[in-house]
Amino acid sequence: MTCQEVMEYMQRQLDDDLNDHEADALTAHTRYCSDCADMFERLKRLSAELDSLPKVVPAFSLVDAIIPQLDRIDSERQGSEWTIETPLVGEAAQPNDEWEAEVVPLSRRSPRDRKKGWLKRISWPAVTGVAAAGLVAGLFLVLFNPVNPPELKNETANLESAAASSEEPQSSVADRAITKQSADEVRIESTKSTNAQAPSVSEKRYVSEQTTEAADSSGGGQIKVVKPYADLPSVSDKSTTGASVPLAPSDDATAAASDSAAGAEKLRNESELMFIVKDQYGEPMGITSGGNSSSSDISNVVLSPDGTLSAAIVDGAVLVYTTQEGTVQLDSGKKTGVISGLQWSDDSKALFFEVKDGEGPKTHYKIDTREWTITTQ
Amino acid sequence: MVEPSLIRAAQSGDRDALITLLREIETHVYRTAYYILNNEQDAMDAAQEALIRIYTKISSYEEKAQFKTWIQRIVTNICIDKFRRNKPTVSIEEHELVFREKSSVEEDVMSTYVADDIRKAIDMLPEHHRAVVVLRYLQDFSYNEIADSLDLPLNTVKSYLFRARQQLQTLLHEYQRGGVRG
Repeated sequence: MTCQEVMEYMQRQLDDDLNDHEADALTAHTRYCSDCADMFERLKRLSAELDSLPKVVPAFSLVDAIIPQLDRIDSERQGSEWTIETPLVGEAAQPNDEWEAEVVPLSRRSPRDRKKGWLKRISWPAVTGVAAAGLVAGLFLVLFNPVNPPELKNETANLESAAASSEEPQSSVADRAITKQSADEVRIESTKSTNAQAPSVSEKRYVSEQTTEAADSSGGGQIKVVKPYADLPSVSDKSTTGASVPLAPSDDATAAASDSAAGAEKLRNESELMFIVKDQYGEPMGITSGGNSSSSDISNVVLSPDGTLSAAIVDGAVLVYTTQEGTVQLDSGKKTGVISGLQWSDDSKALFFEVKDGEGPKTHYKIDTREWTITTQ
Repeated sequence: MVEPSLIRAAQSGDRDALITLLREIETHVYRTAYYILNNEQDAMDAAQEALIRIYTKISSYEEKAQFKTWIQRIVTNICIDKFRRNKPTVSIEEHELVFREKSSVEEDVMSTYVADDIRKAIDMLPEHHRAVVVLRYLQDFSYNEIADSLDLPLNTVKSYLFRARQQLQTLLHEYQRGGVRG
């Protein structure tokens, strides 16, 4: 038996791992090999010292120290099950951002295996909950913080998109309409504040999603909020896909959300009154649905027989705008007197109205929608 | 030794049982952390982290493993992570340099603690060797229990333990002969 082999026996002996036979062999070796005997003595002493290391105890109860953290973990767990405690936009928007960040690459590559993982990682109740919280937050902002909301508009719009996208495809039209309404309200606010910083008036047209960008980049210029009705046919496709498989990039998702809402709204009641919102200069700046914009003095929206144009009396002036985009084509200018009797010709080529100034006679006007001229009759 | 009934109660969502269980094991958890990290404050942090992890993961414990090895696996993993973070990777030359500087700085302080020689020697072992020694001597674990806790093959556990003892023995022998410390 070599000293090397004996070394292993010595080690195992320290752990009581030798059988009787092996222990005898070890003893026989150390009896005549003094080097190994010394080594064994030292190892036994070391082992004894290791055994007698102080059995240290913590200076204070570790469990007591972590109880607050454990409580927090418990409440977070409960929170993640269903309750969304604080529907603050900042918090609510964050998970959404992550959600969208994951959505973007997937929609471009859409590999099935990754999609699977993605679906696994998403807690659908949480997403829906967050979306609901976003809706609440959006309404909250509109009702309580009407000043300075351009930044918030984007977040809210994203939340809206999440709300719309996470809805089941068969969810009712009314739901969509509500979604749209709150989106519109926020948009109105943001456009107003944009105009507050924009004294010069030059007509520019923006898609509604770009409102905030416009405020940042152009600084000046009146902004017309344009409803993307033009996309309607493709929109309904989008909204279905957007709702069932929310894999579209965020911009598309946002568009799909408002589009689908707009589409739903339109399908539901094509001839429903539409409202034109004015800024503080009395300029019409956008067309929106929803009856909450109490500041606007709008009435009598009349759809042309072919449906492409709408006319409305806004603050003492007649406006003609395209029904789908909401683009103002003609502004009659403010008339002294009461405007009434908006009436389209059967071929939609002319719009008639009359102005009655006090006790004076009625003046009849005709708007030619091909030449865009106003003539007195 | 934690009662199996207490573990089951804790797993079924009985928070009081889980807290009681944590109180029973906190000293064991702390002791391992203390000897692996060789520092009271780090040991406190690591032990608390381990207890929190046990609290959140208790439902993932399966009875086919021993509860004490399950606990020690959690705490040793945390300690080894911490250990690696505290001692960022250095080349072998730098490593030795650090040791020399450290020992000369600590000489004055440590000379009064001759009894701490063995702890200082443990502190010089590689992380897994250290963990094996700690489980063997502070937790009285068998080879198999150490293997379960550290997720290492049995033969690896033995060779780590034997090599660690050999190295400790050499270091302490040098100390006792008044040789170079640390």
